[in-house]
Amino acid sequence: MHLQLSLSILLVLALLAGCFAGLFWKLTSGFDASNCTAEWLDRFSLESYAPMERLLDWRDVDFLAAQPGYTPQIARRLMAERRKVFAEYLRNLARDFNRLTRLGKLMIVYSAEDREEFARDLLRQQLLFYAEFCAVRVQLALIPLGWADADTHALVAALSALRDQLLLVSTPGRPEVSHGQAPG
Amino acid sequence: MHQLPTEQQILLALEIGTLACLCVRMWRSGLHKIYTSFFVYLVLQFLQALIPFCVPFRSPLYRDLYVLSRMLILIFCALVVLELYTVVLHDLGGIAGIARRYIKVTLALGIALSLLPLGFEKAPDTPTGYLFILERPILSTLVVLILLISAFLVYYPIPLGWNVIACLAGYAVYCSAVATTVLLENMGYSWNREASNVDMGVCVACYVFWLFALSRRGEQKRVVVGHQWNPGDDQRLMMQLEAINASLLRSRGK
Repeated sequence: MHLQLSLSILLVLALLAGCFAGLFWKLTSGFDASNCTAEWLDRFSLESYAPMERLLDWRDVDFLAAQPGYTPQIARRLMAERRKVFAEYLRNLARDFNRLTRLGKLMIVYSAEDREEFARDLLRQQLLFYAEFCAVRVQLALIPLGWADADTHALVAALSALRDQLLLVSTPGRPEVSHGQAPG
Repeated sequence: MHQLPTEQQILLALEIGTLACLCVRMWRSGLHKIYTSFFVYLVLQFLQALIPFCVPFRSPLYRDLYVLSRMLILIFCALVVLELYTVVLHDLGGIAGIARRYIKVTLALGIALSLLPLGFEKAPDTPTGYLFILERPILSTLVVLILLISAFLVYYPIPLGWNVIACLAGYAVYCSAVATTVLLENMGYSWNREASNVDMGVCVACYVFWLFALSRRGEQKRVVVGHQWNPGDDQRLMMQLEAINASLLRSRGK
């Protein structure tokens, strides 16, 4: 009983110490505000992620299969390399998303008005993104096992739709979507 | 004083010395005006440390004075944490609402978590027993509060001075250590001498840390960015975020 209690308390204290150490290290290391400017926000576009649309397209493999000298190994190697590139694009997407959220947090902290609703929306978007990103990464990992084949096209199509949506957003005359309180 | 064990006499002397230096340092640097509750807390600790010199150690008067002073110190312990939060969020209107909601939630969570071990603690039958039964949940709540407040400060790019970080760090160590020793006492383990040694040792370590860490220069806040955002920037940003998430959501066929 003594030993169990001592171990439990030590474990809790060790967890607490770990959490505090991590938090205070982050507090002392500061907030990375590089590229978190309104100009970057204006320049930001998902156009750079357009190549993702074709990366996992099996039509390329179908085309190769029709060529003389084709072997299944060629298709496997090609798709493996393309999955690596796709994963790199996903990492960049996460990097840009995190940059956007950092920008949002700066807007909230330095705003003269209370931005509670915007802060809630931002947190919700963050949680949603992280959940979906994990799901997509798992799907990508399962493709070689043949368990997530169809969803790959949906993923690519969704990214294409995202690009189209952003193009729509940048078109004059679109209806404005209201989020949170009025800025400024 | 002479009735205290030797190691506690040494620790007490160290405690008095460091506390005196710390109080003088805070007074001379003007920090006592910014962190008033913290300064009063230190003064009360100093006065409590002097009790063994004035009153016989095992007398009822010593016990009563100890209980009363510890209660006062506990109250100011809680006030210090709230004071730090107020100092940090002063003039940050943008997060006022979310900060208020957050502290309510963290307070409720802290109280709930701190009440969990009550089932393991024995019913008190002495004044000091009642003190410890009350003290442990309060200190545990403060530990949880400091943890969650620190997480909030990490999440948002709030400009912080080094003094605030040092205060929070010292408090985290102090409250965790004392809450643990009091919990063990409340559970019936008669480790009075060892528990007192740990308490005093941790206190001395915290005072020494604050003595070197707190300064007038530590009030300078690291401002991340001073920028006036244009109207519509937050709406554009939210649209970008929603577009990315909508894409990922559709990719899973939802």
